[in-house]
Amino acid sequence: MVEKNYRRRGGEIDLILRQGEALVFVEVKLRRGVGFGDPLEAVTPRKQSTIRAVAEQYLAEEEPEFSEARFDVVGILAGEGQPRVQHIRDAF
Amino acid sequence: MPVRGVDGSKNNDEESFTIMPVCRARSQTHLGIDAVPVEVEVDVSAGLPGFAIVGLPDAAVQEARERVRVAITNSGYKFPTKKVIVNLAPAHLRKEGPAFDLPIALAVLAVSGVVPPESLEGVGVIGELSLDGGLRGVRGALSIAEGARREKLPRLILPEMNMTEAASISGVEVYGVKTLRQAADLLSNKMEMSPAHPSPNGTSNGGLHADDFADVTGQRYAKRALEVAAAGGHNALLSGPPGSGKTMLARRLPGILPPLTMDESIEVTKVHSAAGTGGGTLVKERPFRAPHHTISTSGLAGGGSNPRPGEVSLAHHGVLFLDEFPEFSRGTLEVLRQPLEDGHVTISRVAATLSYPARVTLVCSMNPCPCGYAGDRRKVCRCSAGQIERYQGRVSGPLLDRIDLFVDVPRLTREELRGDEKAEPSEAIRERVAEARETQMERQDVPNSVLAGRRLREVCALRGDSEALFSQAIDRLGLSGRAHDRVLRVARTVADLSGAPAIEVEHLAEALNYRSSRFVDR
Repeated sequence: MVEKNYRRRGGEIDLILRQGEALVFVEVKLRRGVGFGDPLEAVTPRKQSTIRAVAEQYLAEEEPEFSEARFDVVGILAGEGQPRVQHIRDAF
Repeated sequence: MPVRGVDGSKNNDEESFTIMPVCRARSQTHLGIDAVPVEVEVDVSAGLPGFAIVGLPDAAVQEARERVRVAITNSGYKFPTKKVIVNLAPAHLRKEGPAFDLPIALAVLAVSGVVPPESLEGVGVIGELSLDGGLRGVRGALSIAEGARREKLPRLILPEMNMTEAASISGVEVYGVKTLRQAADLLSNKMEMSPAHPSPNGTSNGGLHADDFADVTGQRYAKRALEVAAAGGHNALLSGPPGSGKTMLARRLPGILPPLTMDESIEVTKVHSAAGTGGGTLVKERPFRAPHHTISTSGLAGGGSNPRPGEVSLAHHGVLFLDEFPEFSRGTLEVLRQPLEDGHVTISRVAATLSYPARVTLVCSMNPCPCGYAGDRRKVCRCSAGQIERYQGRVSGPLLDRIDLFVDVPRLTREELRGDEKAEPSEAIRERVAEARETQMERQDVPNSVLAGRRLREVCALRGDSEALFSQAIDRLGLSGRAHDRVLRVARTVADLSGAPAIEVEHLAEALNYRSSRFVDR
């Protein structure tokens, strides 16, 4: 884990992780029901571009060393009982 | 509502590496009145949920995304929360219309495991979805069934309301379904269904028409000419003063047209179905189209950015009646030249060049001059020679050259108006016409009006007296090459009407008589 709730002008990145050589920007979405759709569906193109923009700011400020960067999304559906977790690598 | 979709993926990191097969459904789109195959491929991959359609879709196809997604959910299935890509192949062909909804939905259900993917093999699918999962009818079902047969697809699934029309094509099992759910159940063998049978009763009223020739007194010459026109499919121009009955006569023409053959019937239905004006069954009556003279060029010939057949194609194998012929704009009339000669219209647009069939019997009516009374027995014409010339000049020579029968419809005499002579009913004329047409089809497989080249010379060979008469007439009337052929064809039809095996002098004389008119100067 590198950063948590990295917040800059225009948005926020929930988690920034390092996995070996790779830098991973993670968006975590929690939903308590599917009434408004799947948690993963909530990561709209607009949300994606926000995350991209903030990630660029992070790279500019921190100048970290990495060989690949990727965006992951984790969807958590917390209904009654066991929550369901879905992790999508390289989501966009 | 039970969620039945099979979402067998495990909620762990490994799912991104699960390879899911691409599912395919076979569908079709229209190019002109014919259907061309389109393959609908659906791929589902791990990734953020999304739904994209590629393969040159137009707006209505793009909107299929929303319809398909909602219809799948409302039918009680689960739309995959994955990245769904739909490809419509071949990619170069522009896809239009909402008819891809059903194939897309079924292919999506196949990738999510609701219907077995292999069940879509050898099945043509077409249909528009409504939001509740019901199916709406599509245009051109007959062409699609024909296309399915050409593609050797043994089965075809389409909306129930298109079933009867499509079932007229033999060799393809047609299944009409009401909902997406029925289609899915049919494919996964959860529902028994028998293919549709062709219905014997098409839209035919058995030759019964409200307007009957029995109601028309006098005008025996014009009636006879229309009988010849109907029997051989020849073009006719009715000319005469206002009120003499030109329109009335023409409107009675449908009642004496010969019945459509099966092949003709299918062709006519294809055109009407492609235009979206079909009644959902096979057309059994020859069309009779009478567009108003304000019609535009593309209205008559066909066209538009999503090309539709025009009036000349909708009148295919039937009659195109143009009342007040000179009132049509000149440019509009000239587009008739190609269809009258070749029997089809070729429309070139940015998107595609396509051809609609347009083998019509052209019947038009006109007054001889602006005031209408030139050449009349009683009333004096008020028009100057220049006015008359200009008026008649609105119809170009090349177009007049394509008319076979120039029919004078003069003012009725007092005796004709008041007499109670009972004229021959349409039914009797129709019988003669049908018999003459049958003779033609048996002899040469096409109506006399389509005869050309060597076939024409063989079928319309002249002997002795008639040959001499014809040679004389060619010189005296100054017949063009085209007019020469046209006279022969008409003479052949006159001979067929009287049951004569060869063209005799009287037949030829009658045909030549139709070349001249008291009212129209050529």
